[in-house]
Amino acid sequence: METYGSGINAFPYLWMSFGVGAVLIFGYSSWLCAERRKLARQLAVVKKNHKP
Amino acid sequence: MDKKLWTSGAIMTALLVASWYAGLVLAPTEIAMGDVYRIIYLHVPSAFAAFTFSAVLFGLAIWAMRSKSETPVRWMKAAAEVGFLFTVLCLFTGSVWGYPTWGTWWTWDARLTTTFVLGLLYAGFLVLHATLEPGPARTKALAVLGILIFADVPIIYKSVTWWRTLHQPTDIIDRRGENMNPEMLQILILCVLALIAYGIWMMTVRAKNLAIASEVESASFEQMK
Repeated sequence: METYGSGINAFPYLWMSFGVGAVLIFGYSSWLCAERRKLARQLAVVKKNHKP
Repeated sequence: MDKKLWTSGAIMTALLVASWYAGLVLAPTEIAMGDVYRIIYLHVPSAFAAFTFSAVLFGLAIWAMRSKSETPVRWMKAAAEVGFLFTVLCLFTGSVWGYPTWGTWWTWDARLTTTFVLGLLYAGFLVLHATLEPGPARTKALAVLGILIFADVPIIYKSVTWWRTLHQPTDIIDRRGENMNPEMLQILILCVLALIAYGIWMMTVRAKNLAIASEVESASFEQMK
């Protein structure tokens, strides 16, 4: 059956939505993991220096 | 990073990717809109997630008002960041979906405008957190704004019934998805749950990062004394 939707090339819209979604979500979580590693290193250094 | 966080992160990522695969590949094609409707599997979950984190923010705001500790403030910041991210994603995917179906990327329709206000409120929360000095005054201001953010959600939800809008009515909760194919609805619920679970994971990691940062800062300060 010919419908309005069948005339739309959905690929660019899906690519745009899920692509930006993946970049935002996985980009933010990757940044969180990198931040955690950096903070863990800093904390180890601070604790080591703090030892009497 | 500790093993527990890596494992939970890997599980959450696998769940999210699987839910997107189900939405993009396994779900049936919609008869009127064709495949472009599949944006629903990201648009609706991001809206639900943005609303969920506003409710979390509300709970944390109540905790912050009753507590003298900085812990609820850190959790509020983490919840606001995640809520802001999902609101931006909801607005973006809605705009991308709007162009092929409504013929416009954006219109100042009641649903879109109230969601835009939600994004502004989340952004305002983050700006306020960054600019005010830590202390009871900042905690109070952030808690009040957190409550205001949550107050916007029922307005967004009811906007399609209170005003004449271009946006479709609330089918999923009000009519329990009876207008939807059961297979589409099940996949949509899976996508909503997967995104909210991923959001909870991100919020937890961020709040713990903020706690470690504060610990590092106070330990460094002690050493400088």
